[in-house]
Amino acid sequence: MSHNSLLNRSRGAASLQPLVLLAIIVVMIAAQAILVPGSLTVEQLLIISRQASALGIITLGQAAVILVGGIDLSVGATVMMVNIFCISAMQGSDANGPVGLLVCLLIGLGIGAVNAFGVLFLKIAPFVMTLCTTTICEGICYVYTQGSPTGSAAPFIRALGTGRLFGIPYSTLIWLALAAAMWAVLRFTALGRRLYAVGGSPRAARLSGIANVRVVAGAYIFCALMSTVAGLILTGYHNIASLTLAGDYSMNSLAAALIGGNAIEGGRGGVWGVVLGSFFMMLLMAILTMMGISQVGKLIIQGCIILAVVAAQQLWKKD
Amino acid sequence: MKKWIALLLSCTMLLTMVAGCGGTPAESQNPTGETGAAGETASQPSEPAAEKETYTVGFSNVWVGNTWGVQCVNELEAFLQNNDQISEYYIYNADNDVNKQISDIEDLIAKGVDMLILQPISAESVAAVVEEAYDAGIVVVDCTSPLSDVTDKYNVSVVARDYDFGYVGAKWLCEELGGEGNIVCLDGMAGLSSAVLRMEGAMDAFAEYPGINVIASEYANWDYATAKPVMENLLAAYDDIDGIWSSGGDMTRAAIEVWADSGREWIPMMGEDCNGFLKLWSEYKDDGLSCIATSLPTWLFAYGAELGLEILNGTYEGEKDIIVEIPTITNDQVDDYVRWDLSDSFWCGTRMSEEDIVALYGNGNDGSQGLTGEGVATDH
Repeated sequence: MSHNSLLNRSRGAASLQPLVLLAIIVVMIAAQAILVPGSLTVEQLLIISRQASALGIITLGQAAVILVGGIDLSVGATVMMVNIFCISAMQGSDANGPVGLLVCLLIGLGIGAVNAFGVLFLKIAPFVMTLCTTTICEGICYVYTQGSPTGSAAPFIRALGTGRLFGIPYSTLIWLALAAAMWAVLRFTALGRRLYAVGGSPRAARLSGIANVRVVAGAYIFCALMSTVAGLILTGYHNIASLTLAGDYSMNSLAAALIGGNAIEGGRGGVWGVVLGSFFMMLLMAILTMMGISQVGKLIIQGCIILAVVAAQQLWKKD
Repeated sequence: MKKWIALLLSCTMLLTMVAGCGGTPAESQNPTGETGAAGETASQPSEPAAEKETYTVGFSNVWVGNTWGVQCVNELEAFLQNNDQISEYYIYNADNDVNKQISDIEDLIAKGVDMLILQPISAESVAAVVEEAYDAGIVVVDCTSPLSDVTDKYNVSVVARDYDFGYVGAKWLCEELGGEGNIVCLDGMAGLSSAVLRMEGAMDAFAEYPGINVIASEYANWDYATAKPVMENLLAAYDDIDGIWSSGGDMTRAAIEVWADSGREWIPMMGEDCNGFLKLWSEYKDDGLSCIATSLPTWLFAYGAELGLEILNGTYEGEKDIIVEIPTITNDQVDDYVRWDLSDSFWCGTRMSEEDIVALYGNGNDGSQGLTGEGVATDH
């Protein structure tokens, strides 16, 4: 009983932060309506949600890894590898779809397993381990494509990235569905409790009979699989193989998770804050673009606003 | 146990690395005069081939980091292979490393080449070794960036200017819009000289038309994936965009796709001459999309080699410093240039023969395998 209430407290602590973030997002949307008149439409918000969906899905995985006290810098490289090999395996035809998906699944599982192996068995710091995976994956992509990737996505992958259901982009729906599933797992299942327990205090978790290794390994593999899904969505959205698709996903997913109120030291955090955090990141970039602020100013403002939001989150955090 | 695993793992990694380094192919020669002569020549030597001398050519490249760089090398290699006056050639890539470029050029001098073609990474750093080559009697052909500020010991310099690239496209946009309208610019990469120069050219052209307003300018790194969300956001912000200027690369393709999704009336756009963009342009042309493709010619090195050969033959009568006019593709020409059968990474303003083009870019190839099939990035 007391065990349960302890866990509930760590889960409850983050519950106020998504609301703060939601309020900030509402203020930003209002600001956009005033600063760039006529730009605020449902369509525009849907487009931003589509832009945010890949980052959002990656951040779900990142959040799981952070929750167990780790960090995953290889998410961007996973996206890049899935993009290159998915297009290469499918050759623009639906007929090769199953093979392509299988290749992507294996890439995701492989990267997740390698990360988990390095962190858990070789005891390499997560930061270093996932950085190594990143460089190795990038190297493989460069060698494989000889520096100039080509090809386009299979039509069904293309639909995944650009299609809509009742006006809502598929990718947004997938993102929200995955978030809801993750929320349910964290909130209602024993697995969810174990994730919090391992992140909160690995020693205590081990002493109370939780198999830490399996939980942490699961988090890394989950994160790599989420990056795989994001990679497929991005491939469909852009319809090209590109060595630049990885973008800043590693850093941005960390930022989004922290903006969402998850604790970098692990053991604390929720799902909806993370979802809002990803949306916030893309909305901020969109608004700065719309306002026509120069590149330099944009970077500075972006940094300052993220700083302010995280600081606000810290003030609201209950200790 | 764990220590053993770690040790084993590090040993394996070290071994792979050593093996990888050892695998660098030795610089091989390419006696190709015979094989190349079988095919059509890319540019026809006008004189009779009876008592012609043959020459050895060396090329020191900066790098082949993108499809444009790949094709530049391919065009040069196609020219060299198809010309019966070339007995041997060497192509070295410096991978953006100044020291490697200097040692590459020294190596070429030692090999006794008759002509040295180079794309300098930095004029200052290669000046000394270029002078050494010139003093040794080698015909020095400089391409893409000028050497004239640091030395005059070269035979000919062939340059296409980024400024002109930006200017030509912008000028066309203004004319197309009748001198009035709101322009959105997709810029290259912040701080890179070619982006700055292209933008400078564009701004000078826009300044000639008082009715033209640049309402937004955003960096999108010449990259499709970056340009797409940027374009979506610009579209949300402005409902009065009349034209799109682009610094080239793969950004215009993203602009067209976003524009098609939005369902707005088509507006004039500028792009670079890559096949992926031309395909989209051709597809939407009949719906009212009007574009221009400017190009930084991929045949610049091949052209340099052609002039170098004329100098060797003693028939050259042109200037020492040549600035190439920027070639363009217009609405009525796009269908002649677009190649539906070739990959998106093909650059359409080519001078290669059909045979070479298909060998390099047909059947799903992207040209990076090179004419020798060993890959353009390897020194050969």
